Amino acid sequence: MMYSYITLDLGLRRLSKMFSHLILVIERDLRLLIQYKLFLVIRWLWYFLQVTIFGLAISYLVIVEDYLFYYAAGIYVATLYSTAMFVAFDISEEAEHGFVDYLLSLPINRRVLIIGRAIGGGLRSLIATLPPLIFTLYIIGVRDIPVFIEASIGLLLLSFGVAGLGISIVSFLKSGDKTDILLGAIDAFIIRLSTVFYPKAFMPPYYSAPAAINPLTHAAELFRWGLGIQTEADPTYSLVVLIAFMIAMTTTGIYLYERRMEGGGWT
Amino acid sequence: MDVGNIAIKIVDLTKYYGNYLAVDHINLEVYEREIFGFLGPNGAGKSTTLLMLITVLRPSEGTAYIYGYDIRKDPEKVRSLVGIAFQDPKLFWIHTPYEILIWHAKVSGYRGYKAREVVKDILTTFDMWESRNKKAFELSGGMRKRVEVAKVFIQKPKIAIFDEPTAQIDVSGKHMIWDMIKGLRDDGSTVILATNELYEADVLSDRIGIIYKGRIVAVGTPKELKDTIPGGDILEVVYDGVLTNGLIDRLRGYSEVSKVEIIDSMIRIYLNKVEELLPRILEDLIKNGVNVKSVNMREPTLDDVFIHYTGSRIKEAV
Repeated sequence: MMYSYITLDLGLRRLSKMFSHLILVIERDLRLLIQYKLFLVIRWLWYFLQVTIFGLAISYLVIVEDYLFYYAAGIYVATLYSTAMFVAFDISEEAEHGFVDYLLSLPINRRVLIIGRAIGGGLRSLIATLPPLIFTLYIIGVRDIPVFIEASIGLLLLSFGVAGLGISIVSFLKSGDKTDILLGAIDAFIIRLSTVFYPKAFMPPYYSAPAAINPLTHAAELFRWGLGIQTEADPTYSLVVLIAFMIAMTTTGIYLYERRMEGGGWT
Repeated sequence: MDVGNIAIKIVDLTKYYGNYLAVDHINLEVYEREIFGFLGPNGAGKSTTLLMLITVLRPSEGTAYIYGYDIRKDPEKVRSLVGIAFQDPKLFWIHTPYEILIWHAKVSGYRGYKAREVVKDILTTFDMWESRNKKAFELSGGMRKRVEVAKVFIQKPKIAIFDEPTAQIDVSGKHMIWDMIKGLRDDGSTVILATNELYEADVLSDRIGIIYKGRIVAVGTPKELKDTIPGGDILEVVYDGVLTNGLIDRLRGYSEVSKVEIIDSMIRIYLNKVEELLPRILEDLIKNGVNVKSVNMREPTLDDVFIHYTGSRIKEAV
């Protein structure tokens, strides 16, 4: 009996320590956000101009109903994606400064470290894109708050999943330059082969097939559904896809970080 | 020296970078509450060994045990016992010393007010309180090094590793850090000090391991290492009077004496353990009517020890 109490106590203490470390890692990533003030302001400005100039002009050219709203919701998801991916650039830059060695030397469980970075990276991308989100809600409006909250969970899942994807890529490549190039290429494909800018119905089959499994498609469709915009997708299915994406990317990130990350060796 | 419990046991620890053998089957034991100096030139394998001990690098072969925990099998347990001040300060460029140390204090288990207090204390001690809000990239090399070293003094780990802790730091700063390292040892930590500064290794280390080309070539206290050099001590006696052949033969007859030279009115004796033999030599001289005018003793330096074991000076051996 005494033995079980001691085991339970040690287990709880370990759990409490891990949780406290998780919070510290998340807090650190959120604090990093404050350091990128200029970057954020430029991002917000870009989003505002993109919607009010490009989106508005293009909405007069296309036959999709309420295309401005369609576009504003889609480009918000694209902005969220690229902001969540920023954690990969952070890790890459930290590695170039040798800072990864420091993180690896700390008495923090490596899984906790990487889950914390995925959560921190995801949360901060949501915080960083709050002004564009508010602007989107302002121009489109929210018709059903519970539906919107459900859709927002999809955005959160996308952020965590993309942060996990970024961590997986940077851990696998272990190179700042290669990470920059690959992320640029992925960005080009993942955004264009999705329904961020155009509905699947207008895509040729060889585009719509990858778009159907693209997490950005599901996040964009779920978000549009949350805002009451006409959508082609099943929101429950999209939510399941995003949960699967988040789990798969975080697990891959943990796996690669644990096996590939060690001091030095960055190019 | 009194040998304590073993804190670190290194068994055949090896690291390859591609085909390059950086650390070559090191075997070593470090005792609890000692300052163990890792002395070697740049590129000898000191930092690689330390990075394996703290589980930042994976060994290619062999392993090490930190208080019985295998660095390969229990890396998390190992990291909970070890803290390191890296050779190159690991400060993310946009962070300030205050942010860096507060975060480190929290990771080390300090909370709220206590974390702020311990960071203020260490920054004040290191004369960096005024610079606490500068970004890391605005700090001088010496200041960055102080912040790096400060992390270990905040953490107070059971095993404290310092990789060239006083490089780029001024003389008064060096002495302060040396005193603090000794204080850490006196408070119960085992300290590993990697250095290529002979004086630092000599004054600070309880034992020294000389590492050269990835291998440990000698281990012992500074005195033990110096005594391993045949005739390493030099005794010079300026005298008046006549040295008989019998007296010179007697001096040469001591097992610790390897060479005796007569230069004008000075006798130079190359020997070991000069402090033990000196009274007997002086007694022999005086008994034989030699008037001793002055005595000069010189022990070998760690550089002499390094030359003895490696064939080159530490500053030249890269």
